[in-house]
This record gives sequence, structure tokens and C-alpha cells, in this order.
Amino acid sequence: MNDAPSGTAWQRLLTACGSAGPGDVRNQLRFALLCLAWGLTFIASVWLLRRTPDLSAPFVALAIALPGAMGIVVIRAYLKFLRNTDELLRKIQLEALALAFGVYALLSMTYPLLEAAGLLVLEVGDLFAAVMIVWALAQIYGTWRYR
Amino acid sequence: MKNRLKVLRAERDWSQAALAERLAVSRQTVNAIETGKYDPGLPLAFRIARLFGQPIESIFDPEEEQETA
Repeated sequence: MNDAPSGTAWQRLLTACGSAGPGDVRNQLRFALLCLAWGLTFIASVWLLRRTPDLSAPFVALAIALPGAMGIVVIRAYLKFLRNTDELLRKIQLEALALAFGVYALLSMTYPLLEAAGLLVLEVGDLFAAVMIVWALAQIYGTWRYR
Repeated sequence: MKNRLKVLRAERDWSQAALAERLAVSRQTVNAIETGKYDPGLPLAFRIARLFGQPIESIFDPEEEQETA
């Protein structure tokens, strides 16, 4: 049987991991690198704002706007990846997003009640982390389900 | 939905990876279609039909549910 897909070793490796082709691989890599850049920009901005409380207004605005702009770039990159990717991978991604959003809505509605009852106090980033974990786990489950 | 993708692929002695490459999808997608875990969208169904030179309805049978492994 003709078992070997063509392309470079790098492309063959990513194809074996579930990517549909070079364009798909490129979009995934772009999204991953932009996520990394977004995270680093966010950390740098937080560090700058905490280390220099007497920062001038334009720099404060820049420190706030830059991670926001990076976030928009990441969202665009993810949408591009989603629109162009393999249709099964898109289904897995959309199901994972639906579950993550559902968990976010559930936690958002439940947390104020738990806090009011004095049962749970969370940091701002905890909810985001929980949603990201659900999203990641749902992707793993989806990949396993359609393996 | 039942389909004959595995049979058609075997007739041409193609691996799942080789078929996936011809259809520009992942090998996982080909496997999921063959095992009945996933029904392809219209564009992919047309690509499959065109690749094997057969009408869609001779490859996919909506009347019969395929048993999944």
C-alpha cells in the first residue's frame, strides 16, 4: 500500500498528528505562536504597570492597549485556522468551544451565589484558567472520540 | 450513515493516509468516515465522489445506519 504521505519530514509529522495539510499546519503554528506572543505581551504589561506606578499616561494606555490588540490578532488567527482547517477538526474544535462556553456560563452564574454564601472565593484568572482547561480537555476527548 | 469508502479505497490499494492526502483532509477524518463515526459535509462528499468517479448516492447510503466499532 502507498502509506507514505508526501512533503517534508516536518509536514509528515504534523499530518500524522491530525493536520490536513501544509496550510493547516501553517495556520496552527501561527495561532500557537501568536498565543505565546499574547501571553508574553500581557506579562510584560502587568510587570511594567506594577513596577512603575508613576508611568506617564501614554505608556499606561500603550501597556493596556497592546495586549488587547494582540488578543484581536489571536482571535483573527484562530478564526482563520477554524475556517480553513479539516472539517472533522473543525467539528472537534466547535464542540470543545461549545462545552467551554457552557462551563463558563455555568460558573459565571454559580460563582456569585457561592461567593455570597461564603463558600468560594476565586481570583480573576481562575475562571479563565478553568475555561481553558475545559477547552483543552474537550479537544483531547473529541480527538479520542473520532480517532 | 453507511458508506463504501473503505471498500473503494481497498480496491485501489490506497492507505487511509494516501486517501486523506488526495482529499486534502486528515487521516483521522478518513478513518472517522469509514467507521461511521462522522458523516462528511457536502463539499467533502462531492470530492470523494469525484475522486472515485461515482455518484454520491452510490458511496453514501442515508437509509442505513452504520454500526460503529
